[in-house]
Formats: sequence, structure tokens, C-alpha cells
Amino acid sequence: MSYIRQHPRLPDVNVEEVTIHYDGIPIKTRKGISVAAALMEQDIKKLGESRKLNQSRGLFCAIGRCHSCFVTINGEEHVRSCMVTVEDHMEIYPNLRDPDVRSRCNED
Amino acid sequence: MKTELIVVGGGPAGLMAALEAAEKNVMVTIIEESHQLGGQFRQQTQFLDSLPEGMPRMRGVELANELVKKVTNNDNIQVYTNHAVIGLYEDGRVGLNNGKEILSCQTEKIIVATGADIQAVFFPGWTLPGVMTIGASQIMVNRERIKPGNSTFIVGSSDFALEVALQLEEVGINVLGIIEKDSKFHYRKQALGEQVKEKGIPLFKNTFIEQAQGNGQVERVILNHNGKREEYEVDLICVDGGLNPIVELCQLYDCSFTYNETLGGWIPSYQSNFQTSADGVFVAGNAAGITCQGAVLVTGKLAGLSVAESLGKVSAQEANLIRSHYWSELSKVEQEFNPLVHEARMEHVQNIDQAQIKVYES
Repeated sequence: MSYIRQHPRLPDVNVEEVTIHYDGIPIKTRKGISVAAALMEQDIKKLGESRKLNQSRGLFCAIGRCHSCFVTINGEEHVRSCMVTVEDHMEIYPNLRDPDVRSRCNED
Repeated sequence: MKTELIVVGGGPAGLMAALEAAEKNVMVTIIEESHQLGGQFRQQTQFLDSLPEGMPRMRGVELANELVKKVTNNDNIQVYTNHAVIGLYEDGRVGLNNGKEILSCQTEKIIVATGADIQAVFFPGWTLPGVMTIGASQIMVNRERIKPGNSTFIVGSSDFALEVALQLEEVGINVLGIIEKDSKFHYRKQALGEQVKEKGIPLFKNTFIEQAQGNGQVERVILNHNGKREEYEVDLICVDGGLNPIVELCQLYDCSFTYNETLGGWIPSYQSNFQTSADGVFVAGNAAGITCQGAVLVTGKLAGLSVAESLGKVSAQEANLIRSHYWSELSKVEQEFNPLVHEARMEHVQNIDQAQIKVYES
């Protein structure tokens, strides 16, 4: 757990608890933070894999530019986890494979 | 959707531009990609320096809140967060995406205030999760209130790198050192250097990362320190490769670009009213050249004022008067920050008639 409950420079904020699911596992977190941050709080840093280069991928720029933090959210693939804030019951999966539409076409 | 002015980017420059134009009765629409206004000021917990005239000394977060409040309460400004500009239509409308649907907005003028991003620093293992920009680590601790790791090295020795090192240390992250590949450090504020030393954060020159290693995420780093290899256990590496202006939208508008190394490389050419070579397209903030926070704010005012003028809301005479006042403000804050940057900006503005065509290396 790496939540900074009392920040040395910032006022305390009231936080509303929400539950998200990562790879089927429930995670309690706080409304208003990004998906990437909620996962990082649990020390989940690897969010996906480059299939081409066989490399792990995770948060890099945190401002929506580098696209390194892709995850699947509520069935939508390749979502930048640094740009989406958590919502109760969100279903998140790591970005480990190609989208269905592409894998189907590769199968034939 | 229909508006008189679209401001792309709800960061400090965009907000200042919107407020300036709205004050002069321009109907403004701010398009912001993230879920919040305030841009990168939202996680600056340090005091901002070289602020324009009339602004009290304050922290970035405080100024962000103040600007957001002013913008939200202004009847002439419409805000669209979670909206990204995705392209331009032939008839001049601006294409937007909010994650659910594609929209378009008709506008008379546009201000590109898209800001900048941090350049990566490349070394074997730089793509490992746990390696991130210093900006990202600052967002994690100050905006998200999450510690992205427990022990780290900071790669780069700019003022910003030192500032972030202090902020990480403050929330309990062990900063093992700030490393600089060059033979001298790049920070300009001596007081900041002293502060870092007081906190016991070591600074290493002639030092670079040979490799970052780990299974799925960073677990250790191998440094080359004065030619000697040293290994450390870390779970976070924060890199600062300097800032890069974000200018794709100006490329879409076919704006002329000029190369200006001091201002951050290829940036759109613009006149003293911050209009680019494309009619009705203005630029502000770090997208108009990398500078200090105070200057980012003033360039926003300049662009906002010039749009009001071009829409006939302010007479040319009045606009010129205010503009020369803003320019002296800009020159004051920018020279205080770094005289070379201001010199580069003056040169950039004077060069618009001789803009060079961008040539990509093959």
C-alpha cells in the first residue's frame, strides 16, 4: 500500500471509496484517481506487454502522450489508464494480447 | 457546436488565453483532453517563480485552482473536459472525440495551447515498468497521492528534476541520487541545489545509466559513475530528458515551423501577436517554445488579446497598447528566468518572414 494519506504540502481530501477489478481481483481504491495510479498503489506496475518486442509495458508519461499504459477497461481495449479515472465496479484487464477483431482475422 | 474561439488545452496558457479573450467579450470554448482543467500546474506543489505582475507568490496547485475557478465562473467560456481534438474538416470545423462520439465545432479562431511533454532518456531497459518521466512521478505523488516506488534515482539535473527529487523525498521515497551524464549540473537555482544537499540527496556528475534490470518491472539499476560500474536496488527510475513542445495541431493547420534549439526545437513560427502563418491560428504557452511558468501565463494573455483584436472586439490601437504592456511583462519574467530564452523568442518572432521548411532526416 503506498497511499499518501497525509501529504506534506497539500490539504487532506475527503475520499469516496470505490471498488475496481483488475484481472478479476477486487481492489479498493478512491474516486478521482486514475486507473494507472490505483494499480500502482497495489504495486501493479506491469500493465501490458509488447507482443512484438516481448517487453513489459507500464506507466511512463502519465499525461496521455506515450500510450505505454494501455489496459482493457469494461471490454474496451487499448485504453490509456493514466487518462481514465476509476469508477465503481470497473473491470480492468492487462493489455497482453491483440484485440479480438485482429486475432480473428489472423486465425484464418 | 459553434464558437468564436477554440482554446485547445486547459492548462495555464490555455486558461489565461481563455480568460483574456472572454474578458473582451469573445465567446470561448476550451477543449481539454483530460478530465480536469489546470494542466501541469495541478501537481506543482512548489512556489512558482517569475510570475507576472500583480500575481502574489503562490504554488502551482493554488494558481491552477484560482484559474479554474475564474474560468468556470465566466459566462463567456464553455469548458469541454474529456474531449480531444482529433482532426480538422475541410470546411474548417474542428473534430472532437469524447470517448463516446465524434463531434465537430465551428470556430472563427483557434489558440493552440497544447503544452509540452518530457522527452525520454534512452538506455537498455528504459521501457521497463517503474521507469517513468519525472513529471509522471510528480503526478503520482502530488495529484494521485500514490508513491510510485520506494527508492529511486533521478536522471537529469535541471531545476525541475531537483524540485521533483525534493517532492519525492518529502513523501518518503528514498532518492538515492540525482545523476547527470555531463560534467556539470544543469540546475540554475543555486538555492535549490543547496536544499537538495541539505536533504542529503547526493548529486553525481559524469554518471549515466548503463542498464535498468528487472523481471517485469525495475528491480535494479547499473550506473556508470566516472567510468566505474555501480549496482543499486531500486523500484523506480525518474527520467528528465527536457521538454518537447506539443505541436501536432499546428502541423495539421500547415503552419510554418522554425527550428529554435533554445525554445525546444521545431516550433510554429508566429508574429508578435502570437498568430502563426495559418490564418486565425494562434499559439500560446510551451507549445510556442519552452519557457518558464510565468512566461507561459503571459503568452496566454498575448494570444487571447490578439484573438479579441482579430475578431474586432478590441480596436487595433487599444490592442497594440495592451500588447506592448504584455510584451514588457513577458520580457521581464523571461529574462529573469533565462535571458537566452527571451533572446531566442525575439529572434523567433522576427524570423517569421523567413520561415524554413521542415525537413525530416530519412
